[in-house]
Amino acid sequence: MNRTIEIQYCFEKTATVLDRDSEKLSKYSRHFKEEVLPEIRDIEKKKATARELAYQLRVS
Amino acid sequence: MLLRIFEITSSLDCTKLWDVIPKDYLSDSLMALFQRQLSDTIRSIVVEYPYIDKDYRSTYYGFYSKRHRSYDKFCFRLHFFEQPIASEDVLPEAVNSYLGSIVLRPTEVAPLGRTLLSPRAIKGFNGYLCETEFINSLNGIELPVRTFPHTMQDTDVTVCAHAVCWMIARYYSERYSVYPERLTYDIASAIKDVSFGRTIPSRGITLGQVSEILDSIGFYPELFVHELYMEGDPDFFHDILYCYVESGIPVVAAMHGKAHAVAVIGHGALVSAVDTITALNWSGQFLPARRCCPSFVINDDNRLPFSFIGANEVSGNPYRLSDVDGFAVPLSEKMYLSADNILKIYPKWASGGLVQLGAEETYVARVFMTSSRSYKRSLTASADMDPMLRKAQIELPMPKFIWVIELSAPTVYDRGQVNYRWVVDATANPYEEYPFLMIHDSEKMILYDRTYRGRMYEVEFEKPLTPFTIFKNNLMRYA
Repeated sequence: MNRTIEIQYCFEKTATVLDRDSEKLSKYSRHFKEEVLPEIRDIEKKKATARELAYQLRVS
Repeated sequence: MLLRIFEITSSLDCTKLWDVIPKDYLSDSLMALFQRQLSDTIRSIVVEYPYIDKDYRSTYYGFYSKRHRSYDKFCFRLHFFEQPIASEDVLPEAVNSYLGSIVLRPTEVAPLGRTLLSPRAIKGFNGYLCETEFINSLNGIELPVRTFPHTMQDTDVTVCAHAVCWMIARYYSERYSVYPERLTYDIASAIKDVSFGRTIPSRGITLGQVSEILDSIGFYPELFVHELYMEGDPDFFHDILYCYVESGIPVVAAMHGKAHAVAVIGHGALVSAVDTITALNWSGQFLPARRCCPSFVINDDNRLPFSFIGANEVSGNPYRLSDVDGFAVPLSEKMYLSADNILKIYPKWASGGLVQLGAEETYVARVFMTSSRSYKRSLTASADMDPMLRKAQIELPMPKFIWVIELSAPTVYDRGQVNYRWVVDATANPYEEYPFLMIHDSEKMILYDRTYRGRMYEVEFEKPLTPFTIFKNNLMRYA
């Protein structure tokens, strides 16, 4: 089956669809690459290391 | 069967229990805990014997029956009531005053077994915690109690970390049918990595092995270790812990230096955000709500349930928050995005210009996870939320679990309200640019239909938003 069931959300009548290339989202995209990605990479690295260190934390 | 009913006027009268219960089951140290921690509102204790406790029986058949000395197969069970009970004939009328039960095992060193005590049975308890309903049966009468389960390690088969895993497993199996019930011996024998030596009798386990146990029960554990967060903001580690606790997810906290583990199951009474900002001289844009929460509620198997742990010593508890070296979070399969990711990502939606916050210098940020089912249920009852904001979220397809960020001006937080509430897909990849489902400011909201249309919408409100009530479904308040 390949068909689309038409639905309409309550907010669609007054909504503006945001284009990924719009100025607003492009600006955020740059901000994300500069400010967010480095921090997320650091965090994910910590979580990977935590799995190794967890075997050194002995409890009774 | 019902062995005896004791009427008491204060917890000091618990010594009457020794009239029928030998010290093998009720040691001096346990009696001291009863007298110190049980509430003086308890008026009756009903003693049941012989009681067949499935958890003790699992260790009895797996271990104690193999010892040369003999152990009793049976346990005592104590039932606590807030009203005097003259005889067993009046038990049916005492159901509403039921405060729960304690099983006493013949394991001398640590005889406190399965404990299902209401927080109202603990002296002076004031806090928020994960809880669910358990139903005990006494002489055919069903006695419901809402609580988080507790037990002591027996020091033979189980140690503190096993006891904590058991508490968490029993809470989930009682609350959600998807999780299986695991008896004490099942928990102790769940560790398959024996490179540290035999697992029973237990000589202690590691946080990594705790993760193995949680995995064997059907959880998808995430691990956090304090030393990795010492650079930068050392409090960030505790902010992560708070997010999971505020989500109603009990956590296994490991204290390597103290060779101990506890279950973190809630948090203590909150303090004013206005006062906190003044006391900390806080000037950042976001104040993590954890800073308004001086203590966490723990189940420590050396004590009765519902103790506290904080930055400083709380009510005689020897442990402090700084003793927690790491913790394991028993996540559900579809909880992919972790708390540390969310804590780093959400401030950037404001600084990146997607939304414009008001003129407040600081907003209190309360970050937690919940099920979309629970969240939408709360929306249906949310009378003070903008109708479009409410209905749009109810209609928007959401995954099973969502992260929620509530932002409140300090005075708004202190009266239990929020200015902004953002909703994030908990199945999102941490590297995604737009993991949110809905973010908003006072003038507009951005909705992201991530699953059906794959479109992002911006909708302006008819009038500027006013504060609305915080989300309360995850933890239960007791005062």
